[in-house]
Amino acid sequence: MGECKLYLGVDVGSVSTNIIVMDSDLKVLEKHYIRTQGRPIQILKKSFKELSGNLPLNSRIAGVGCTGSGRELAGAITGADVIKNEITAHGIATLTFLPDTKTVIEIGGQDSKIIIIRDGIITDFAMNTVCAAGTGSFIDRQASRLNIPIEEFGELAEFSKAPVRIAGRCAVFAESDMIHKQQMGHGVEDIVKGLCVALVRNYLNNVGKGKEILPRVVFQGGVAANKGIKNAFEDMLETNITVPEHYDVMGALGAAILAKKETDRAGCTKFRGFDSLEEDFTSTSFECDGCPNMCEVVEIKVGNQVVARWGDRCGKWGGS
Amino acid sequence: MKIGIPQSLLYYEFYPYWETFFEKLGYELVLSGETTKEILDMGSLSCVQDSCIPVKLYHGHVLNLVDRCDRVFIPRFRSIAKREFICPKFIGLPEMLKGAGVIDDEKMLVIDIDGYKEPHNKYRGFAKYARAVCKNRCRADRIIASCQLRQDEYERKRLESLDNSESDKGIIGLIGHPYIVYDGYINMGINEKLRKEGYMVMYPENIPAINIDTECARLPKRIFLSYGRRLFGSGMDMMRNRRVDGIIFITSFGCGVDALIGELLEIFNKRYFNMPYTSIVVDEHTGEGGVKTRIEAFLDMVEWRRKRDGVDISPYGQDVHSSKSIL
Repeated sequence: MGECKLYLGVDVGSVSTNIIVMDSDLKVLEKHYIRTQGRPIQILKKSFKELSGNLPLNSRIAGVGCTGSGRELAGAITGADVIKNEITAHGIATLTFLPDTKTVIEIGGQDSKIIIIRDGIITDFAMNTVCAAGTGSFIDRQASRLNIPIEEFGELAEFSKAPVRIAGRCAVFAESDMIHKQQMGHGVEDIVKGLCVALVRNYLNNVGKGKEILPRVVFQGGVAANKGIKNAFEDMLETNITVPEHYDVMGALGAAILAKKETDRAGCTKFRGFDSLEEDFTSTSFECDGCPNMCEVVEIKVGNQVVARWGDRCGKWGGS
Repeated sequence: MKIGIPQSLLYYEFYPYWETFFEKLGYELVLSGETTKEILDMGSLSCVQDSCIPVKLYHGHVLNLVDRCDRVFIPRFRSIAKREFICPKFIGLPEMLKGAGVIDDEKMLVIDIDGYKEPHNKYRGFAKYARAVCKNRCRADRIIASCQLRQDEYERKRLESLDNSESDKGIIGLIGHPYIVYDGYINMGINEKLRKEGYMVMYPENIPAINIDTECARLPKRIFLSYGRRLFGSGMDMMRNRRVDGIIFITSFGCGVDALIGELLEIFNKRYFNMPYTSIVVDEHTGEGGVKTRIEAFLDMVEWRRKRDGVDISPYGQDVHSSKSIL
């Protein structure tokens, strides 16, 4: 039996870090979905350690792709072949598995996006602007306020018979509105459903503003697990919504697919190997005093060797 | 006398005139320099909280100068074109600074720029000041003439020169107020990023005034804001004549002019031109992640669409690098 080539996709987001391993037929072998908890380096090291034990014998990592807001960091640690923005990564993954997609709705922890696809390419996209209303954090916050585990949130919404209308423009407004409705004696399931509808309304008014949403509509990102939100989207858009099998790791999957393309072209990978990930990574930051910009420069070290620096505006420290 | 000029707001538009003016009067010029984090911090601490970021920056630039010169030049822009205004904050700029306790009356050198009724005469405030200083009408008029010459020459040159013109990857139209598109700090180095990716950058200032007028004349109502007109007209011209491969509309959070213009451009793009288009909102945050992600994704999209539509030929059969039709 020949050697089996595997591809690693890493998506370091604000709320969760997702890692997938796929083979050259794009089949997902391993899937890790962990909360980032503000400590991306430790989380990455821990999950890589678990991961390396689970891989089939006679296999090797033939390519690594990184995406998400922590993509530079993950890329420096792993020695990534591709470091790609999350919009392109999500688009690529959806197009690979569901080529007839025309609209991608992606709702993650801190941002939400809409990607418009026509004739097999991304033709338009939008991301939420300054605020995080209409994202996973909004639901997360309200769920903890209602004392409902986030996993049961969506299921609960399905029992609702008369959803309550809740202001969805801002998490702070929503919260006071919600408390008011609670005091009036509305049932929890009706409030939960109301929150789902509020999020969807907010998403369509902000991120989806002015976009032509045509079927097939694909819903992905961590929030896609929430049935209440999916149903609310279906009601409001009056169309069926597809939630792909690997909805929660589509970004990582897209990065792995891009890594495969890149290494097929280049012929080799820059992956540093699982062993090197055992080494001590330290990340420190300092304020450069070269000019009044006082840039906060981040430095990633393996042992005593600096592997990457970024955060400076002028390029003095090698970042951009 | 040492005169300080804040390198902010419409400095980017009128600096040849201002610098020539004070040099010819024999003053020593002190510039506040390019925007830095320190200037931003000082500005946002002293300015009223709900103001837009460019005005906050102006406060910072003035603070940077106050102790380094005898007087700070604060232009009061009423109008720069016939029956047009610019943002009202420009009219009240000296009062705003005074109210914020940034600078005293005696320290300010305020000159009005007003072309609402007589646009050819908008610099008469400068002429009056020069006459008072020189006490010689002929010399004062010569100074004014040479300032105008410098300014005209600058505007002409600006029209012709494209940023990063050796690149052949494509052209991105960067539409925004001069104090955002030319201030590398506040726009988070967006032009630098585009250049690094190998794209040329086209600004509203690269589009001739006559084209802007033509585009604005198509609207049912007159836009009476000078910079609104320029952004709208230049954006429409770039799209209609396929001068660019994509448009980035960059605006500061809370800008009233841009709220209208950005929306108009987006609607017309969707209706008639269908070009890659995105808008980016800047504010006080210094984390570049969000802007970087959007720019990268936008350029990926531009590339894909170019590949689909044929490398250098737009669907309208025009060479994207020049407005000449190649069919």
